[in-house]
Formats: sequence, C-alpha cells, structure tokens
Amino acid sequence: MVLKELCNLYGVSGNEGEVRNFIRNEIKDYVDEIKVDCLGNLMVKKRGRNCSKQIMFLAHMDEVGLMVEKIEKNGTIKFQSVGGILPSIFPATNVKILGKETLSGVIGIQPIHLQKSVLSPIKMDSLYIDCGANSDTELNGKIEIGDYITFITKFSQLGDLWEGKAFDDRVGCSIMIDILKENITPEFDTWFVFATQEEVGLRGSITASYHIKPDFALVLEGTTACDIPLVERNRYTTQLGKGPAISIAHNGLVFGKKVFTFLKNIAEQKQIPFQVKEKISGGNDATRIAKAEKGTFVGSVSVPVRYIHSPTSVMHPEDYINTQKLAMGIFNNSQNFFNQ
Amino acid sequence: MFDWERVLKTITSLYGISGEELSVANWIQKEISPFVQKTYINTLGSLVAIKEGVGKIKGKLMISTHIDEIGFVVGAILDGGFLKVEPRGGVDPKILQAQECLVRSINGEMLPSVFSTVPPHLIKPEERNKVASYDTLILDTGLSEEDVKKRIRIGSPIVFKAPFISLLNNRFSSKTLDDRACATISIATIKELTKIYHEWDIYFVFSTQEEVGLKGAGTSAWEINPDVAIAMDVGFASQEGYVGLSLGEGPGLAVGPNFTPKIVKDIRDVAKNESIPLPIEPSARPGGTDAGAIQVSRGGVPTALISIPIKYMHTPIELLDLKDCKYTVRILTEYIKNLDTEYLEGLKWS
Repeated sequence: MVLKELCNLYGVSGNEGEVRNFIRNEIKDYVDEIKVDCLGNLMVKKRGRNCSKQIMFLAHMDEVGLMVEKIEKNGTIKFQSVGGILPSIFPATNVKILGKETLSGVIGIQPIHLQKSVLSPIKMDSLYIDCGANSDTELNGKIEIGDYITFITKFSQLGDLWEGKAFDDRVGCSIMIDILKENITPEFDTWFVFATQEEVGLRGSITASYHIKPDFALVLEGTTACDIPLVERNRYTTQLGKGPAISIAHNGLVFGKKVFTFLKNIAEQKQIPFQVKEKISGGNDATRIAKAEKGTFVGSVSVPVRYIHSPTSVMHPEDYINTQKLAMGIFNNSQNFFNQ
Repeated sequence: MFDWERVLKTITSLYGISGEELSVANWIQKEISPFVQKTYINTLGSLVAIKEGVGKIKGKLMISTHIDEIGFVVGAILDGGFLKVEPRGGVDPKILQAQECLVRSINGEMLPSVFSTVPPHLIKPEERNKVASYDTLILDTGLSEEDVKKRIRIGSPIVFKAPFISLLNNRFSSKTLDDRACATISIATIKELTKIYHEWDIYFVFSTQEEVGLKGAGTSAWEINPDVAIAMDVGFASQEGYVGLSLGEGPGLAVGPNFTPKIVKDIRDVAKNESIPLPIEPSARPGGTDAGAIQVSRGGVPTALISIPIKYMHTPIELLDLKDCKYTVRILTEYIKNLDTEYLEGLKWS
C-alpha cells in the first residue's frame, strides 16, 4: 500500500505532475500500455483475455489547495482556493508555496487580544500568507502570481484511524495501484485512469472517457463523512468503519439500478461490509463518465473521509481494506455486469 | 556559537501546559547546568539557575521568562469518544478548525487529535457565516469511546501540535514561542556570561503558570528577593491591522507604571551605547507579564520588561525574527557588566 507516500505528495488540481510521476513509476511493470493525455490524465491498460469490451476504473490524483493571487507591498501573499475549501479552516495553517523556490508560509490572523470584534466570521479577503518577507521585492524571482500553494500535513496514525491531507482521492489511487500490483489478467481489457482536475469541476474525467470509451466504469473516491456529535444524524452521508459507501445518487447523477445492484451483489457475495451513501451531496467524476458519448454505465464506490477538504482529513484503515476488497471483486467479475 | 534553531525547535516542542511544566524545566536544567553554579526547582515548579558573580558585595539580578504554554482541557467526553474542550489561556476558537493537537493521557502519553470541521459539501448556508466557538468544536482522537474513557478524563490537558518552520529572513514559526523564545534567550545569555566578568549573582528564573496569573514568577521573586528584576516576554509585532513593535527591529522596552524608571533608563542607555535598537513599548496599564507580579513582591522590586516581538500570538504559528533574540542577549549581557557595588548603592531609596 502506498497511501502514505501518495498523501504526502503535492498535487493541487492542475499541478498533478508529482503524483503522476510517482504512480507511473509504481505501476509501470504491471501494465500493458501507458498513456498521458493533454489534461494530464494517466491512463494505463491491463490487457484482458477478450478485447470486445473496455472496462474503466477511475480515481483522481488532484487535491484541494491554494494559488497565489497577489503579492502585497509588505511581502504578504493573497491567495485563492483551488477547489472547495471553507475560509474558516485557513487561519493559523502551515502551507508551502511551490514557486521557482519552495517557500514555507503560515496563514496569518490577528491575535485574539487585538481583534476589534472576535465575533466576525473569517472572510477570504482578510486572509494572507506570511513567509517572513518584509516586502514584495524580497520575493522577486522566488515566487509569482499563479504559483500553487499546498497544505503540508503528513500522513499519520490518529488513534485507530489515519490522518492526512488528500485522502480525497489518493485513497482511490492507492487502491487502484494495489489492484494493478496483483498483476491479474482480467476477462476484458481494463483501464485504470488516474485523473486530474476533479476538484475544480470534474474535468480530467471528461477527456479520459473520450479516450477510453468504456462500456462499464467504476469511480473510486474518498467521500464526505460527517459522523460526529454536533452534526444531526440526518446529515451524516457516510460513517467511518462501516465499509465502502456505494452511491445511489449524487448531485448531477442517479446511478442506474443495474449498476447499484451489481456492486451490492458483489459485496454481499464476498461478505464485504458496505454502506449505502445516505445523502445526495457532492458529486464526482461519475457524472462525466455517465454522460460521455452515447452514455456509459458507471458506479461509484467510496471510502468515507471525515474533515474532507481540510488539511487534516481522517479515515478508517478497515474501510480501506474493505473498499480494496470490493474494488478487487469488481475487477475480477466485471464481465458479469454484461450477463445480468 | 549558540545553536538557536536547535534550542528553539526542541524547547517549543516540549509539553508544558500551565501547571505541568516539569519536562520543560528538566530539559532546560540539563542544558544549562554546566554553565551555572546552582540549579533547583522551587515549590510551584519554576526552575531557578544561579550564575554567581565575583563581586565582594553582590547584588542579585533576577531574569524571568515563563515556560508554561497555553492549551485546553477536556470538558466532556461525548458519544463516540469525541471530546469537548475548554481553553486554558486565551485561545481564539476561530483558529481551531482542522488544527492538530496532543491530548495528555492519564498515563502521560501524548495522543494525537484533530479539531473537527464540517465539509463545504454538507454545511448549511446559515452555518457558513457562523463564527466558531467552543460549543461548535470537538476534538477527534480517532480512538473508540471505550478507549477514550480508559485513557482520558475530564480535565486532561491538551496542547497544540505544530511544526517548527524556518521562514525567510531568519524568521521562525512555531507553537509556544510565547514564551519559550525568551527562555531560549535566557539560555543563550547564560552561555554568554561564562565569557565575561560580572560581579552580581544572576538568578535566571524559568517560571511556571504565567498564562493563568503569573504564579511562578511572583513566588520565585519572593523566594529570591532580588535587587533588580528583568522579565522577558513576547510582545505584539506589527501585522495586518495593528501597529506595534516591528519584527527584526529590536526588542521592545516597556514603559509604564509597572516598570521602574531607573532600570528602564539604565537598560536604554546600555542599548544606546552599544547601538542596539530598543524601541519603547508604551504599556499604560500594568500588564499580564511576570513583571507585574515581580514588581510588587515583598517590599517592591525595581523591575523592567523586555518584549520580543512576535506575530500571531497564542496560535500554533507564532512567528519571530532571530535578530530580536540576538539583540536581547547583547543588551542583557552589557547591562550585567555594569552591575557593581556602586550600582547596588544607587538603588537605595531615601
């Protein structure tokens, strides 16, 4: 399992190169074909015994992060979010600016002692990064507008759980790498797509679907879990430790009953614990795949992730294992989808 | 050469919430023992180190920095083992979402934890502009409720976990620079004093419980009964929306009722003579530093306060400029050189 290494890499949407290179190197000895398209999608093929159908597994490599918007005269840096991040999580956070030089920085906030109103909410326009510079000229040649900025949390054990950044969706990438390393020849040609730009509008998956034209596709994701006190039970979506979440619907897509039943049957046959994603919230690459060309059968299986889209997301190791088992089961039985 | 980065990195990483500073005191004791004549830990846990002078009639200078840190305590254990917390010291709840902390278990293990966030996908529109408070934050240790109840109890202390980061211009960011940066200045000064001739005995106090009411400094001053005292603490540096001291442009010398004019003037003169920047920090009301407790110890102690400018005070990203620390070591050393019998005589009130 390379989840730890994957999560510690920097790959904000549009800047996935480091992640792509790592994955390419991990799987190159286990695949029959490697393609990278103009959006940066890494697409690798496991040749099947039968090439009449194309199966596609997809997980996205990118993670949420920031971008340099403006460098102020006093040397502080204004930033934009890349992907959906709430402003309230930014204050007092450590980041790295990936410019010509890599600079460490902190997201500043006024000390509580000096705030005029401690009850004002955090707004993006009051936030800035401080990397120790006294003026904009000190930053000349080091960083510039448009440089990517990343969270720097390292993967670690949190009690019985795992903590890190970018579980969304390096967890999907990691499971696909696990499957490839098993080096099993599938019935049908099977593509594994490590996609780009999911967090900024599900974009890599658009072109990946065009290239591969899958007959059946599965999206492996890290999805929201909100199973904490102070949040009402009816807002939970998924819960940690209850196994992979199979989606019936999300924003922008209703998964076909045929797909849902197929995924559920595999979980039941193999006695893998699973949960049905409860709330229709968020969306993922499946939306793009479903409406590609004349339409595609697609399913979505996700690992529940607490505090997603923050620098400190949390997931359950057992959910990883069970999602991996389910994904493996789907990989080994995808031909049955067409026999239903 | 004094290895500032090593000492700062280590000292800020040590656990020492107000009232439980022993591991910090022990570490400092080891670090400085070879350079002083005597060290001991007193009733409230403050570490005292005596660097003896060579004068015949010796005065006592007390230099005080506090070694406790802000944090939280467990207020309640909720369903699922999640923790509700209460602040110990002034911590802004708005900075806490997605922050990493360490919970000290009953057995003294430091258990990792993170503050909760509700993801943007699930947040209600009316919650978007809601300001975080201690009622809307919970801490997640990743442990089962059963395990949490075995290892953690109401009142268990919690401190920030944050990396020590090197920035541009020899600036550093970390948790707990308040006030371990000043403790580091004391350590550096102790090593500097081994190279010079000084007459007075210098009592370095690494005080406890500053953040909860200046307890360690007050009791240490009573015990030591110094002739002069200098407290060192962090002060507010200029940053967005605030004008105060400036990073890298010298420590501040506080002026106000809490600070004895003669001592303030003498320290100022030393800085002037040595061309070390030492801006005045106006402090109209007796402030919340160790100086406040020391000045009124016994019959009164002539007291001054030197402030090291930092940004983002009481957050895990406190930020300082090493130049200010180095200036302070020089000011203290030069001031100590001047302390002789005559200086002691000059302190008498008539």
